[in-house]
Amino acid sequence: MVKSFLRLSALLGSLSCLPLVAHHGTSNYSTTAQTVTLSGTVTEFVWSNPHVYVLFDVKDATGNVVHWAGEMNSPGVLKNAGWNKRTLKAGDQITATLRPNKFGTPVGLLSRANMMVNGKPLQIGPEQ
Amino acid sequence: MSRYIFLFTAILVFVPALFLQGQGPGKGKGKGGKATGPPAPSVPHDPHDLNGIWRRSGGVLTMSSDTPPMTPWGKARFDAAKPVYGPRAVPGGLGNDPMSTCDPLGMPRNIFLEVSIYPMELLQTPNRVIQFFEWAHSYRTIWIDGRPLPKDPDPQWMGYSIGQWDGDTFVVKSLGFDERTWLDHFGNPVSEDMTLEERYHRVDRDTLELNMAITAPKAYTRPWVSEKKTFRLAPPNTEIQELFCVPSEEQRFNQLVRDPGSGITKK
Repeated sequence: MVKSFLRLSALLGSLSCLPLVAHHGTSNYSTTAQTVTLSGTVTEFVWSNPHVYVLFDVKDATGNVVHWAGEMNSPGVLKNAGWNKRTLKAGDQITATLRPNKFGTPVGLLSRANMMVNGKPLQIGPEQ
Repeated sequence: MSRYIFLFTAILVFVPALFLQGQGPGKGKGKGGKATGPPAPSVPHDPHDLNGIWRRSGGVLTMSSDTPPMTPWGKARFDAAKPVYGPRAVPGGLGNDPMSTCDPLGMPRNIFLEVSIYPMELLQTPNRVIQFFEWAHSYRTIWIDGRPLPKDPDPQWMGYSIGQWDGDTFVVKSLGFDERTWLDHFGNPVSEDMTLEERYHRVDRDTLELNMAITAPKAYTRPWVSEKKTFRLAPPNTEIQELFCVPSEEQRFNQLVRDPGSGITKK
């Protein structure tokens, strides 16, 4: 089910090309040309060292909830980009682009670019 | 036609560069991501003053692309390594990179971390130079008080280092390395008999060049001379972040992200 959902999403997301940087190998993820764009509800934003990640629930085409994990970089790198541990929180509705992994499990490398949070583009700045 | 090829090439080159600039040299960002602009044009500098936060600005993630032939011992170590980078990369959860369990990277691997993401800071005192690495919040001491290298040191993750000036070049000699480390992300070996020479030269205020060479006869059949590594001075308001590698947090990350993302459902 996840695989069919990925294929559908990949079609939608394949036009985007988002380079991503991580501090460890990312060979398990698809290329930057094969992304998916997902919308779901954050269940946990894990601000941990050396990896930050987002756990979020996404309803697939048949209405089943899929628990996704979106890998990000380190807190230091995110902090330099203006993020903090409150940038996302449980309950937030997000739309984000990910590079899914090659094994068909709901884990991807999440891009900070063009994220939507609660219906608005994510604004990163000192006010957060 | 050639105009379109040029345009396409320019896009290929500059689009990733634009993405990287928020984390890279030449674009300072203070707290809250506030941009502070590129560093000022170079000004007269003291070449014997290496203080500052430096970011590597390009190059390969190892000594050079010209890996020397390995001894049978070195080859066995190389074959046992399952890196998650490079041509031999396996999915993260299937590798055995010491970095994935927060083991110390040691030297010279700390120099080879990803281009421009994690800086290093040099702090000079009268009798030693401290080299502080953002990754894993770790440091090494380079003694400059005239002491010799130890004769038969116990292995250390960072080795044991002394430094002295050769004209305007700061020469660091090290030995006593722990061969549990990898030389680089690609699983090239380190042996306990390895000696490392680093030659740092601040060619202008904003540019620090580094040439390196290792000799490790247990692992390689000839010395390995590096390509020139270039670092750029970070803007004055740059702060080294507290980037520990926390084993307990990495363990949960492995369970929730790295392993399932590598096709591992149970371990």
